[in-house]
Amino acid sequence: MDRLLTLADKILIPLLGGAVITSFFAVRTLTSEGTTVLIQVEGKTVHRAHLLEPGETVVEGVRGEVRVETRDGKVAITHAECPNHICVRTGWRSRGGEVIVCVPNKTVVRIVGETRGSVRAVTG
Amino acid sequence: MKTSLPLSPTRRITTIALLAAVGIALFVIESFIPMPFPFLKIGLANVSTLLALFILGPREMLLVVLIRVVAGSLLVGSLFSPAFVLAFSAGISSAVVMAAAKIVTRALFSIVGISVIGSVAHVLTQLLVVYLLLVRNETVFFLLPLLLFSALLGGVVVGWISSRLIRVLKDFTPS
Amino acid sequence: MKSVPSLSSLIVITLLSISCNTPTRDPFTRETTAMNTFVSVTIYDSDIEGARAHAAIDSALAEVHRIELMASDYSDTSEVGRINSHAGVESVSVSPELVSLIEKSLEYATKSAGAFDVTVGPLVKAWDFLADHPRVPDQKVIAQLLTLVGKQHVSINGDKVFLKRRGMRLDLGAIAKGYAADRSSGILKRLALKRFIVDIGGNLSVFWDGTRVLDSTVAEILIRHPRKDGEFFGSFMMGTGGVSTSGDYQRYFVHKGVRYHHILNPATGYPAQGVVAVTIVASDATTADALSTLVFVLGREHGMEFIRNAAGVEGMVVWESGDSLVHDLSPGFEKQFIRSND
Repeated sequence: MDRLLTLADKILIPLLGGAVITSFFAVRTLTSEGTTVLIQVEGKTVHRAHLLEPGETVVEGVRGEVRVETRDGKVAITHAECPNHICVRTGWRSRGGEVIVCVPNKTVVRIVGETRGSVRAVTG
Repeated sequence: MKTSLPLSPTRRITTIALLAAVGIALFVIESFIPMPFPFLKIGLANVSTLLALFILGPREMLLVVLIRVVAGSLLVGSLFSPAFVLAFSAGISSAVVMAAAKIVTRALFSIVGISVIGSVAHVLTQLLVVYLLLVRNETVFFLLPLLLFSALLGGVVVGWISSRLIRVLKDFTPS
Repeated sequence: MKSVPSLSSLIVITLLSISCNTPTRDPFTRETTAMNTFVSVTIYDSDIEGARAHAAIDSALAEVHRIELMASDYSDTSEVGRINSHAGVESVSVSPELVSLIEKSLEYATKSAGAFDVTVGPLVKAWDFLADHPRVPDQKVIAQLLTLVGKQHVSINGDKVFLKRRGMRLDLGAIAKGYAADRSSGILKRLALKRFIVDIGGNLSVFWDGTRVLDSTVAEILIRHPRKDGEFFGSFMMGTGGVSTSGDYQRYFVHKGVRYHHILNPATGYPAQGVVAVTIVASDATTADALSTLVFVLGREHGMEFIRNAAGVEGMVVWESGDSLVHDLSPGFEKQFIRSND
């Protein structure tokens, strides 16, 4: 092997780097500040919480319990019944659009909403 | 860049077994390395995958990957779990894409390039499988930037390690 | 490696971008009363100054008052009032807008086989739910008034509306508030506002630029509990669209242990039975308002069927089963609705 990187490599890698940046900003435009936390199991919303209200919620994931805590304007999965605990290791999230995923439990914790405080209305 | 060496059948089988073992070892070792984000994987096991592709050939490489994914999951204890389905589909698809890329484009990409192609394919397959498993919750794609970034980084690192190793191995392998 | 410098700059850019945040401010809101109910307009745009926001709200509320004048039936000088006072006598020329609204209402009457009917005016007047001491009207009176109900007795010719029988009355109460919400929403849109909610007595028009009805997760809508005042039955989230709820608890009286509520069945002349509340989410508030009454009268089975067959409409029907409340949801609503703990 003469050179480490070929010409094609030197085009490919920066191109992919560009894809990373583009996707980053694409995700950013779809989200901004958020204070509502949605906990969804298998696509259905089972609980709603607010980042600004501290508390703990336990939901039934597909495999077992998933414990979600909101504190200091952040949210995290603090405990889950799953083998690798990737969800717990993801840690605390606070930006709109961020997600914490527990695949074995098919549970997703999402931060949604686009204003400080919340957008709310009453019908009935 | 000529990298496929003519080997006797015995040599082939033992090399496959060796590379598979190396792959498993690297996989298990990597599972012990703590990472800031859980999905930031380097994919060290792919060093063995790449070596198999460039020393032996695409068919042998697929075999190495198959053995590595199954045996590795057995060792880590995730056989038949959703994590296994993820690892299996992502691993196989990335191997197939790498093999296809190498066959179709021949010497266009270096080992680093092929490694990057493979890691990106791996990550994209993961996202797709998670999307389908999680019953169409499209927010998982918000993880794309981070995953793509780690794939790019990991792919380059693994590719670089593999290229250095191939140089060393070429010196030691008789034709 | 030649690619290392570009890679490291990539890392730096990414990390820098994460730390930047777009600032937001508190929304502008104003509350008042109109159409016999509570009205509020809230603007959430973050790049707007107070003067412009309040001017916009002024325009929106002016529109609500205008619709009230056009569509209310408690005054003889409103357009509807004039149609009603000339019932059985002669046709009345009205604005194209009102003709359009009446035609739309008659369409709903056809689609629902009469469950939704704006000609129930005489019956509504007889029941008089807003009176101090409402009474159950005499059975014979109701039977007589039923002869004045039915879209077949309405004739529309160009801009002339004619109620064929004396004593007939149009009552647009089941669609007017939603319509007013849509119209004032339209005004705000034309003033280039991108995020706002218009609330007319629980009929909501939500507008959030670039979002769809239930796919998005912008506004949290709380549904009042039909039996527990001050509490909520559940909530769901939505983006741009319209919401309305019809319930047997909104206007009612109890006589000899029986609840008589204001959502009349045009076929019987008595309050529709079997349903406690209906919430409809649609692409606009006019549809939501009309359908919430329509589905309520159709009842649980036919009502849910209507919701499922209607394009772009999701909803919930609540009824009593023994001591508790039970609900049924359309599929799209199912994914979003969370029931509060009773």
